[in-house]
This record gives sequence, C-alpha cells and structure tokens, in this order.
Amino acid sequence: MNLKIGHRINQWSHHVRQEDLNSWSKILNDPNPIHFDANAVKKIGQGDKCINQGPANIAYIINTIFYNFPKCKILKIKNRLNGNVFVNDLVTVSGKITNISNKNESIIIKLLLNLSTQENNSLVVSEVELIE
Amino acid sequence: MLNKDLINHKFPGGTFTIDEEINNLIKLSTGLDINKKTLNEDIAHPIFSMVALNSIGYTLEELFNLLNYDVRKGPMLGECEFNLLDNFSLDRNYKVNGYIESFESKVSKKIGNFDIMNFKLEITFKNMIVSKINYKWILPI
Repeated sequence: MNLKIGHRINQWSHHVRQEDLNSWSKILNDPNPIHFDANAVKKIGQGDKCINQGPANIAYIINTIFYNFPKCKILKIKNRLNGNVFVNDLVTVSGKITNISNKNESIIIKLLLNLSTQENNSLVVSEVELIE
Repeated sequence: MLNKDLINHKFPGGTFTIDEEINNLIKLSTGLDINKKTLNEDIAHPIFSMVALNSIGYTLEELFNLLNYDVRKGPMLGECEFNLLDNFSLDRNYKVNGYIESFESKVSKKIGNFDIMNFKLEITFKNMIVSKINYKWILPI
C-alpha cells in the first residue's frame, strides 16, 4: 500500500443477494418487512426491490478497510447513509487517504470512503480513522 | 404520533456474546470467505458495534412500539458513528447501554415529512468501554 495523502485505495465489491438480507434480518432481529417483502417497499414509495439493512452497508465499508489494511485497528468510523442498497445490487466501495500522521510510533491514517452501486453513487460516505 | 417524551429515556440494556456461528454469518452475508484465515481468529467483525442494537433491552419492534411508531412506514438508518476503543472478541459477554438523546423534525423532497431520532449506545466488557456509537434514525411520517 502506497501511504500518501490522496492515494486511492483498492476497490472492494460485493453482489447483494436476498439470502444476505435474510441473514441480516436474523442477525439484527429486525422485523422490518422492507428487507424481505418487496410489496412493503412499494407501499413506502421506495421502489420495488427489498432494501438492504444499513449495518450490512457499513460492514462493506469495514471489509474494504481490512481488504486494504489487513493489520490495522479501526479507531473511528462516521457513516452517512444517503440512499438505499437493494437486493441484487453490485456494491463497490472506493476511496482515498485524506490524512497521515504519527502518534506514539504508530501511523494514523484517515480515509474517505464511498459506497456506490451500478445505479447510484455515494450511497454511504464514511470518514475513517485507523492505526496501521 | 411519535412519542417525543422519550428524550433521555434509558434503554433497559442487555448483553450479547459473539459466537463463531454469528460471526461467520456476518462474514458470509457480506462477501467474506470464512475459510480464509485472518491474523487473529479470536477477533470478531467490528460491525458488532452496530449489531449490538439488538441487545439494548428492546427489539427494534418494541422500540418502535414504545415510540408509538408504525414500523410499516419504513424507518431507515441515516447516520452512524462509532468509536472503537478495543477489538471485539469471540466468546466474550458484552454489556450494552444506551438512551434516546433527541428528536428532530425535518422535510425532504424524497420522503416528505420525517422525524430523526438520535440515540447513543455504549458497549462494555468488564466495565471497560469497547465501543461508543451515535445513531440517527430516519422515521418517515
């Protein structure tokens, strides 16, 4: 990994399947029907496909961090969720290094990450701070 | 009508233990290979900062009922910030506490009138803070 401010990290992708949403409903004990019933999504005017759980989208952000920095320790993540990821979407997380500093012989790296799908950009924007 | 008298309402709190099965389910459902060895097999996925939401002493359904909010309106997570002070480990019992900090009323072109619920959680292990989380939930009216 090239540790320079402005360096773009390696992209990470995942194809979202209905079985993933079903797993997350179980993991979160979440009864919200928008995750397993397309009619519930239609009723709230958010399209006609089941909506992925927000924490799953944040897990993709975390997976991208470890894909690029496997030995790191995450300190902070601030996630803004601007839109929905739907079942069958291909999620891609990209981003860049925004700051590098040293503290107590450790390297502190800040990232700005962006989760997009084939149809929408910046569905999740995350500011990350980690120790490499 | 949303029950906004719940500002500063403390959740009953709860506990959770991360076992290998649930950690693997998270890995599998987010595109990770569970057979791929990591540096420390005892460290769990950091997303447990958010999974802890189901250990606040209410289910989400109970929380929305308490708020007098119909879950069929489609509540959505708007923002989540967490500070990780330690790693999550398998087979440890974590405590979760939290409270509702505030409500805000807003209007958007996309979803019309909605309320935002801000709440905070703290996850501890043996009285040491592991993670602090701030949530903003969007509640369409």
